[in-house]
Amino acid sequence: MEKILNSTPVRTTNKFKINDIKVDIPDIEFINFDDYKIDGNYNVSIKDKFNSRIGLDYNKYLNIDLDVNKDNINLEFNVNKPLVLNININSSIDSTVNIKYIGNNIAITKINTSLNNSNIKLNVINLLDKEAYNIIEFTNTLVDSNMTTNFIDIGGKVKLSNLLTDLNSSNSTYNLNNLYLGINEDIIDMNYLINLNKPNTNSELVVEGLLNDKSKKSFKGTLDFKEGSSDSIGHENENCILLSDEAKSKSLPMMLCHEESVDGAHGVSTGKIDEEKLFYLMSRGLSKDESIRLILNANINKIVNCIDDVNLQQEIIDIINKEI
Amino acid sequence: MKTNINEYEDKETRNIYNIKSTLESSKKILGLSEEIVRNISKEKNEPDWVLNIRLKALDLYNKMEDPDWGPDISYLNIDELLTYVKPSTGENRSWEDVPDDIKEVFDKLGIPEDEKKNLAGVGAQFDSEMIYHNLTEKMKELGVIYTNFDVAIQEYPELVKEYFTKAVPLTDHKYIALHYALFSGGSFVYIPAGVKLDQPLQSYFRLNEKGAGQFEHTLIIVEDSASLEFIEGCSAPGYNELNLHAGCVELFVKKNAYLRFSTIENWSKNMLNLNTKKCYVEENGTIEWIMGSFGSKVSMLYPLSVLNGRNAKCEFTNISFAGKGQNLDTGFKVIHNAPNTKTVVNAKSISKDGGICLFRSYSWVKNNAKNSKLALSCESLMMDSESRSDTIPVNNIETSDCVFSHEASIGKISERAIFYLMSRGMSEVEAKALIVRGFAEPIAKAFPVEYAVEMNRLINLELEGSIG
Repeated sequence: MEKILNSTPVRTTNKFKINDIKVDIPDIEFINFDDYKIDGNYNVSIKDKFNSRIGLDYNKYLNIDLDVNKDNINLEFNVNKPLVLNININSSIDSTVNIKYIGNNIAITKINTSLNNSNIKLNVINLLDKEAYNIIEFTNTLVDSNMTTNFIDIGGKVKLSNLLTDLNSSNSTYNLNNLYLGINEDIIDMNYLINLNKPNTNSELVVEGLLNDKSKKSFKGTLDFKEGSSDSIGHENENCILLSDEAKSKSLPMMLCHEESVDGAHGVSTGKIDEEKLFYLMSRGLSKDESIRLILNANINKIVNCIDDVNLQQEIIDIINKEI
Repeated sequence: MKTNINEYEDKETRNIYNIKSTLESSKKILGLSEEIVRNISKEKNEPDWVLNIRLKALDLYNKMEDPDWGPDISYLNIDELLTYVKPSTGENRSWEDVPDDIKEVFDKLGIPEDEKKNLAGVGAQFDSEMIYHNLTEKMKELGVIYTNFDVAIQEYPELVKEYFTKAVPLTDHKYIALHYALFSGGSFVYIPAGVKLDQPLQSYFRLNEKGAGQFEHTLIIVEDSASLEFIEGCSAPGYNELNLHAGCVELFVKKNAYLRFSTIENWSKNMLNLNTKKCYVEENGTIEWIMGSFGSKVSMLYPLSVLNGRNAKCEFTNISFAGKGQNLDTGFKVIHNAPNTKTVVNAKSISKDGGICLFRSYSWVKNNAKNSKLALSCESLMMDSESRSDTIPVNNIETSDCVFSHEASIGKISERAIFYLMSRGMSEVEAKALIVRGFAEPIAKAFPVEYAVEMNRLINLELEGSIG
């Protein structure tokens, strides 16, 4: 059923067709949560009423409360049946949480992270099959904390992501490293909002993407410097390489500012592979294909290297190289 | 989300713009109805095809909704607005024939002085009608047409019919529909093929009547291999009642032609400036937009360039300065619709005392625009934390064979720079004004020199107002 989803925090004219996305999302009639066995000592339950900013609502969902008490937590979901999932992450220690998706169905996830005086790295890896759907919503509330989300969004034909981060105390930092891949007729829609609410907060968004075939992507990233966010720093950078002349890229890097003393910047670049780089590498004896692959891998590695697990890094690179 | 601003008091710092003519108008029409539209058309003795456009536009206006984005303009009540104000003089070919009271206003604004010194032609509009248009004999001999738009409808109907409403359609948005229902005055410019004007043309629009609207239509055609620089100035005295400016500019730049369109907008702070501008550029043609937005209570202005021919170019240079009570929602749009097309954008904004500067853009590179290049740069300077500075750029890239980059930054004046200048004997006000003038300098350089000087003067006035 076609739905209007993932609305931007500040609207612009509808003629630009970027305020929201219209997309077909299959109806989920019945969810059998028995299909999902969660290994580990977590508080797992089935709850009623799943509401999301992205615009999808369901009657029931699987809820996991992760009270982080060790330095490394791994969750893997084999999404061969529909999954509606809510994960609450509370942490007061430094840790890494890895969440990985494989399978061929539809995964709808909300990940709520509430941090107080802790540092956390959240790695979310979407390695779903080509026909799958990955719909994910991140909500982060940080007090005296640092958080990095490494989000690898390469599987599935529909990839919708929504992120809201509130930096609620001085000296809190939030960084997002995001890699997306569009192939065939994939639809990718990213809608990210970072609220810098207090003085001396920092945020950096780095988004790297590759679009091939007839894939379409919208990137909507907003840095909102609220009144009182003096001496905060917010940077946002999106780099999209178009590998096919039929791929389409839209971007809306918004910056809203109600505070004088901030350092805010955003940059977007879209287009083909840099010809100067290509020329340089080919003049060193590499073939055109080898040169292109080397340049693309350099872009991919910027994000992939943020994940500590070397085996996982290689798995991601192998999948991307196979697809492009 | 709508962006709101509080009510304000016009501090009347823009002294020379605040001259009020006491001359009585010969005709005033309040509100909007089919009868009013028919009366305006009758007053101008227009042919039926023009009346039909007006009536169709009125119908569209009544059916269309306000935009659901941008600044709040819901308080605009068209029934309380003077939609047509005819000055008590016709159009004059000699400055001497212009009534003294109006002449005094334009004299103080420096319009006739400029004409004598360095302009190929001058037009001046007072409220709803042009009161003066003049073109040098040399230009007339070259076949250049520069006249009141209403006169052009009568004297060059075929030419007007070919281009009028073709760049900006009636359906574009609610306030362009209002414009087409009520348009009055404006300039018509035709530059024949191969004619290159070495001096600019300048039209000056003055809205004197309080509670009135101005709906001038400017149509410029620059034929193959011709070139033109056109300067548009706008101002009004400050009143407590709301004024509306809903003008329209349609530009056609043909093969190998060049047009520089400069606008200095310094409307008073009771003005809603809902202007629409669009330019079609053919092969090897160039459009350069130079815009300075200083005045008005609310501005919504996003000139669109459509690069329809191979190697067509667009340069957009803009500065906005929003002070207390101002919400300047400005920007640009470009459509790359042919190979090898290029766009360069350099936009700057300064906001202070609670003013809002919002830069909104739309860049669309179509699939046929191979080897296109776009470089967009926006810089915002905030003078205090009561103010707002937002950037909302939409980029839509449909070909891999293009190079697109957009960068934007927001910042404040470096305290070290102020300290340095103050340690050299400057006051804080002087130091800030110098830094702001430096920030604006790359844009000021693009303006005609008289306007650049005026812009610096406005910056000084605004800053002294904020600190002193």
